[in-house]
Amino acid sequence: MCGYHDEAAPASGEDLLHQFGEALQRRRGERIAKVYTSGSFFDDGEVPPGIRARILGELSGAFGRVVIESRPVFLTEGAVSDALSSCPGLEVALGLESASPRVLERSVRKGFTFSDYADGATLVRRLGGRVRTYLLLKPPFLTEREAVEDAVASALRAAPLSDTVSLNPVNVQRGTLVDRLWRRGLYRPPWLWSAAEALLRVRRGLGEAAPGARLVCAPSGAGRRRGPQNCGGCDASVLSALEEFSVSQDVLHLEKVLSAGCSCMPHWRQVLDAGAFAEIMQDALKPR
Amino acid sequence: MIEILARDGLAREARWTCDGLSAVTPNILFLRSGGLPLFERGECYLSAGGPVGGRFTLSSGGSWFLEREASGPAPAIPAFPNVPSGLEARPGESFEAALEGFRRSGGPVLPVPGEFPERIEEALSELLLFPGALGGTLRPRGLAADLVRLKQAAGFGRLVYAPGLGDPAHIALLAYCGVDLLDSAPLLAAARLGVRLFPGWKAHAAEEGLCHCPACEGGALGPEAVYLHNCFAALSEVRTVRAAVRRGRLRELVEGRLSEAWQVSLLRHLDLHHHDFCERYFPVARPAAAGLDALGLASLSRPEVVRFRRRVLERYRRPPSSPVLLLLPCSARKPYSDSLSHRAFRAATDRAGNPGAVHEAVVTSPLGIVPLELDSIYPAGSYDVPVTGDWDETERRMVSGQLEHFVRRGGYSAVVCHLPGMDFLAGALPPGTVFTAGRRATSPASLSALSRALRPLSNENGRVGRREASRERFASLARFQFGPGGEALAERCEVRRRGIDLRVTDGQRTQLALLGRERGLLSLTMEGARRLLGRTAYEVEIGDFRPSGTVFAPGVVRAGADIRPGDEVLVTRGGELRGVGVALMSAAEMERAGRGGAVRMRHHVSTRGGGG
Repeated sequence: MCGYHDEAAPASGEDLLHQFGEALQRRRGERIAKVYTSGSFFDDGEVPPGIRARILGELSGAFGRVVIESRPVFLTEGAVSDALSSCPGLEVALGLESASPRVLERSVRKGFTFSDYADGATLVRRLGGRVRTYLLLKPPFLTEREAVEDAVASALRAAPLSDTVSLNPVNVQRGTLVDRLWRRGLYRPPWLWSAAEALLRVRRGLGEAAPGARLVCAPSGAGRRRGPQNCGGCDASVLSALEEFSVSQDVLHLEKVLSAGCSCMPHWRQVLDAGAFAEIMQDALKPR
Repeated sequence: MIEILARDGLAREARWTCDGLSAVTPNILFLRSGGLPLFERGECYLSAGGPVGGRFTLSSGGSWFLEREASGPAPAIPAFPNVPSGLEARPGESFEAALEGFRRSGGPVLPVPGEFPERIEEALSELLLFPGALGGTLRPRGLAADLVRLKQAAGFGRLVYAPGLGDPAHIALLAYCGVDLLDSAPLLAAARLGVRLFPGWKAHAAEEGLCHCPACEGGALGPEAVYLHNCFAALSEVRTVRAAVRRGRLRELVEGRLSEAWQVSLLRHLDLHHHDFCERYFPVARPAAAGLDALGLASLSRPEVVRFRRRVLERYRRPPSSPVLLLLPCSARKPYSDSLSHRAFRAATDRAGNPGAVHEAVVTSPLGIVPLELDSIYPAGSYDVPVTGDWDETERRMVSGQLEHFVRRGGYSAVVCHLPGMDFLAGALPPGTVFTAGRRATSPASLSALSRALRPLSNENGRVGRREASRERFASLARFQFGPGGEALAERCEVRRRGIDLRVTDGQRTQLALLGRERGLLSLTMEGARRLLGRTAYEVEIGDFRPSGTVFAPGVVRAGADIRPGDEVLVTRGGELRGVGVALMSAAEMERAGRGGAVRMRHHVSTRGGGG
C-alpha cells in the first residue's frame, strides 16, 4: 500500500536541518505543522535526538499544533517526555492500520501488534501528548465487506486511545503489492460509500455520551482510477460529505449523503452482501 | 463420499454425498445470503446463512481476517486467508493456514490458496477449493499450468471447486479442465450490470424476445430477474455438460462454446503444453455413436487425435510384405473400407494383380495418416471433418510432416499417390512417387491410371498371398493396440471377416480376438490374452484374488503406464493370467484411486480355484 518503500535516501542530521529550514520558510504563518518523515520521527537512526529537539523547539514557537509520526517501538518514556518538553501539546501520529492481528500480520505486514500500539498511545497521552491514529480502509486480500467491518472494529478499539482517528481509504500506488493485485484484476479500491458507512457506524458506536476521538477521513486520489471511488456520478458529493463530517463531526452529513443514495448504491450494497463469501475474490468479478 | 458416474477426459460426472444429501457434479453452487436474491431451482447451494431446505448446501467459511467463528452445518468451508499465489509473504503460507483451518474444521473442504504442494495428502478432504482459478482467466497460460498442477496434487476421487467462476459460457471448458463445482457469484456480478448470460454470448436486459426461460417471460427485466435468468442459463448448461460427459462429447461441446480469447488460449495451452498429462485421461475407444467431430482448428490438437498421430509414427509398423505405399483420400463414410470410393480403389488395386504387396494408407485431417488396417480403430473409425477440398496451412503442415515421417519410417520401395488436389504434399514424398489421381480420384481414368501404376510396382517382388497379407495387417493392428509384443497375437493366426467384425483364430478352431466395429479395438479371448502375457504393457497386476465382474481400484497393485480408459487389458497376478477385460480408468487412477471400478472383466479363470 505504501509507495515509499523504494524512495528512501540517506541523510545526515545537517541535511535534515537544512531541508527543515527550507520548508519552514515556505510554511510560516500556518496553523498546524505535520512533520511526516514517512518513517519514525522518534527513530534515532532517522532523526538524531539533538536534531529532533531543535526541530520541535522551532516548530513549537511557530505553530499552534505540531504533529509528527512514529512507529510505537520508538516511543520510549525518555524520548517522548523530551519531545513534549521541547514542544508541549505535541501530537504523535501512529499508523495502526487495523486492530485485527490477522490483518496486521498477513495483509498489512505491519510488524507490530495492537498492544504495541496501545502501549505507545497510552504513554504519549500519559505524558501529556496527543495521539492521532491512522487506519486503513481495505488493505489487500479483504473483500469490501471485510474491509468495512475491519475499519469499524478497528476504529472502535482505537478511538478510546486516540484524540483523532483518521480513516485512510487505500489507493493504488505504483510498485506496491496492491498495484500488482490491481493489475491482475484482483483488487478494486474501496467505495466511497464504504468510507461514509464506516465513519457513520463508528461515530454512532462511540455514542454521544462518550464522544471519544475525532474521526476524520480525507481520501487521497478519490474518484480516480487508482483511488477510492463510486460510480463517478456521486463521487464528488460523497467526498464533500466526508470532508464536512471530518470538520464538524456531525453525522448528519453522512446520513444525508447515504440516504440520498445514487443509482450505484444497490450495486455497492450487493457487493457488501456478496462479500459474506470470503472464499470468492469479489473484486475479480468483472464481466468481460 | 464421492462416486464417479462417468468420465470424459479430465471431466467427470460425480455424485458427492455428505450427511445424507447429495449433489451431482459438474454443478453450480447458488449463493444464499441475506440481501442477495435466491435462485430456488438450484440443485446445490453455497450459503452464508444456514442450509437451504432439503438441498445440498455448502456453508461458507466467512472471513478469516476478521476471525469470526464459522457457524453452520457441514460440509462447511473453513475460513482461510484468500491470498493469490505469488503474493504471499512466504510461499505456501496461505495454504498452511488453510490446512490448519481444515484440520480444525473436521469437514471435507480443503481450500488451496496461494502456493500449494505437489501432492495433497490430507485424507479426509473430498473437495479442493481453488480460489486462484478466477484471477487465472486473465492469464490463461498460468491457469493451464495451475489446473494441471492442482489435478496432479489432488489425485483422483476428489472434487475441485473454482469460486467466482460460473458464467454459462465458461462452464463446459472449466468442466473439461477438471473443475467440478462453480458458483453463481459471476451471474450476480453480470446481473448488476444488466447483462444476461448465455452459453457463448451475452445480451443486455433490455433486448427483448431473446429468451424463454421462466425469468425472462415476465417482460421488462430488473436486476433480480436478470440474475435469475443467468441462474437458469447456468443450470441448464451444467446439465448439458453432464450429458456431454456421459456421451463422450464434451470436447465437441467445449469447442462449440469457445467465445472469449482466454478460453481459446487456455484450451490451446492444455493441448500444446500439457498434452502428456491430459492425454492419460482420454479414452482410447468410444462408442461409435460418440464419434469425434473435428470441426475447427482446435480439433487438430485434441488429445485423442494427437495420440493417434504419435502412435502411428512411434508404435505402428507396416506389414513387411507390402512395400508399395498407396496413399488414398479419406471418405465421408467410416470405416473408409465400407465406402464406395474405397471399394473402387480396392478393385483397381486388385486389378493390378498383386494387392497383398500394396499397403494402403489414408491421408486425412486431423489424423494425418491412417494405415487402412487401422480404419476401425477410434477415432479413425468414427471421426467426421468438414471436407471442402481446401487445406488450411496448419493442416497442410501437419499432414506433410506426418506423411514424411511415415514414409521414411516405413522404408517403402515405391509410393503411389492417389490424392487429387493435394500438390502441397509433393515436398513430403520421395522422388519417384507416382501420381495417379488426376482431378477426381474415382474417375475411370484415374482408377485405370492407378491400376497401371501399381501393376509393375506391386509385382516386383513376387506374389503375396491374401492370407499372409491379412495376417500381417492384423499383426500391425495388434502392435498398434498392444505395443510391439502385440505381434505375438498374429503368429500363425487366421483372420476372417464375420459380418462387420474381424474374427481372429489360431488357424484351428480357437478364437484369439475379435475386432468389433462398434468398439473400434481388439477384444481378446483368454487364449489371445495368454499369447500376450508378459509381452505387453497392457497388464494390470491385482491382489491375490480371482476376479469376476469388476476389479476395483483398491484391488489393483500395478498397472502398465500406457493403459487408458477403454483399453483391453490382461489382468494378472504374479505373472499368471487371471483374466482379461476393459480398463475403466487410466493406469495412474487405478494405482492411486481409493475407489471405483478399474477393470470390467470379460473373461476370467474359474473363480473356484484351479486356473485356466
